[in-house]
Amino acid sequence: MGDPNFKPGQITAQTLRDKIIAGFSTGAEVHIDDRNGDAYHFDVVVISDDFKGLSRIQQHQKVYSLLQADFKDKLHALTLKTETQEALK
Amino acid sequence: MNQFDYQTITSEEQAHKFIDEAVKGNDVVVFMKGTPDFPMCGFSGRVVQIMNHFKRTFVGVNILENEVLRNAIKTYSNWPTVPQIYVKGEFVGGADIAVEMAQSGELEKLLKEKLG
Repeated sequence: MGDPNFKPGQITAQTLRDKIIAGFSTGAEVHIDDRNGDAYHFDVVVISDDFKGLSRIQQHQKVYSLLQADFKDKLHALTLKTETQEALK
Repeated sequence: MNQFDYQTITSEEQAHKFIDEAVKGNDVVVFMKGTPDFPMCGFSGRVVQIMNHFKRTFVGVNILENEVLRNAIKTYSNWPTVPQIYVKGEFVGGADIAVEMAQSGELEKLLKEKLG
């Protein structure tokens, strides 16, 4: 929470990462870029084998479902990319 | 899509019916913030650019005009964000998926398959 730009009601990249990782049973590699340093525009990449067999829409829905509460107010601009470990090998 | 009057929508049920009719009655529908001429959000603007790039006409529904519709589009598709693209009634994705599919060539293929 040492971020000088952080305002109450916002979400930090770390919180975002923790929430996503907690929702993946086979583990997930999560990369988050707080693009403008404003805790508002996040570029998120999630790599996990939990995505195996899911369509891209379903993969995104899985991530979104973990962040549902935050989408009501804290999150506006989230750019998401999902991939399986397997696809990257 | 001027035949649709968003302002008359006052319940989620009405909104879902409106969405259903809109996406099934038109080849491509984009639920967005702002209009195709004046997108009010970068993500919506990106989808407009993509559709224009592939020279596809589409119907834009400005969800900022009706608060009920704005929430109902999220429950209709179980998708928490706008824009949302529908081709022949099928939900294709939001801005990130559209960009990825446009870059990989999948989107052009899908549009050709569905619309010719």
